[in-house]
Amino acid sequence: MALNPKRTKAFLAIFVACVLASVAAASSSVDMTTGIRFVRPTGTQADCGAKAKDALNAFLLDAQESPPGSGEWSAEGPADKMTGAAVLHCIGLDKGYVVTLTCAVQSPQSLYAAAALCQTIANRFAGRPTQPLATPTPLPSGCSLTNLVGDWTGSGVALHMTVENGLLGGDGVSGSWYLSGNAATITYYGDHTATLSADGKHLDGRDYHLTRKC
Amino acid sequence: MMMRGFCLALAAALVAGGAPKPAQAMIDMVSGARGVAKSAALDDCNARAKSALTAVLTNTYEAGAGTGQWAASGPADASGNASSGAAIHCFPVGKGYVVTLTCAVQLPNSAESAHDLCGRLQTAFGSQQNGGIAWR
Repeated sequence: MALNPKRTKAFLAIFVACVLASVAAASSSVDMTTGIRFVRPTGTQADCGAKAKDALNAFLLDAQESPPGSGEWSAEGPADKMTGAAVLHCIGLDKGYVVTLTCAVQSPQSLYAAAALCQTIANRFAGRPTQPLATPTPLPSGCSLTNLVGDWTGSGVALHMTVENGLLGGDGVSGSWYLSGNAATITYYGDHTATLSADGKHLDGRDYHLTRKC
Repeated sequence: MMMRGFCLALAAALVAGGAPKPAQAMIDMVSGARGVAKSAALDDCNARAKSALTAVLTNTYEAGAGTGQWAASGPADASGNASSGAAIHCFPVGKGYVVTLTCAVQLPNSAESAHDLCGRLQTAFGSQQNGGIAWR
């Protein structure tokens, strides 16, 4: 049986559009900048390291010196997104030390630019007052029809779905969600399809019947 | 016949896997090697930094004339988005200089890791045999 050329073309066009939409959603770039360089006439590389660790941990997560004793400190964050990172190099001098700062963020996912991150870390390092960096907007509290963000229960599970399309089960297992129109795909122990109700409060599928807290 | 089989397989894959999902991108950033040139002018570091960044990436610039802080990005996709970036800091110490490398890439958009990018940058910058630079 021959294929209908029109249907074949339409099918392929839809497929290509889906792929392009997927790629477009992930489209972003690296925003990288060198920050302020401090030269201190007194103090040791260890002093620099202590300040570097404090400054990084104030705005990012889990600052590490790698390898230990190298004076090369790095951290990533923030906790809920991991869209930024910074590196401080502490270089000991005969008298004092120099510290360089480099920052990178994922744009536009990061709520602030690399320059803002570097400036804030530099201020903290120097003991100057710092302004809080931009924080994520609060989670939508309503039963949105455009996303699955929120807490869902039913079918013996409790799922927390995040604005980044992430999903965390009550058992600590993570997954993801995707919504196209009212057709949802929940990836949690495999892919499961479900339909979002008109009020945005219920997900009904073959495997799960969930109700959103909203 | 083959085309029909392809379409059916594609449709089955889509039904089984659901609609395409956006990839979750992440930043991969590393502190690269640190080089020391015991006897060399800072201008040598600046020239090497500019040359290395230009060879490996694009849009090389110094963050303020004379700062010795160089950065570059690239390669850019059709939308102008760069998936990689790197910075080289040159700082005079004694009669020579210290140079540090820092690299960042966005995964999975970048074809290489930040570590690999810094490795290429280090090679392009020079070595003990080619410039008297000792890396660690």
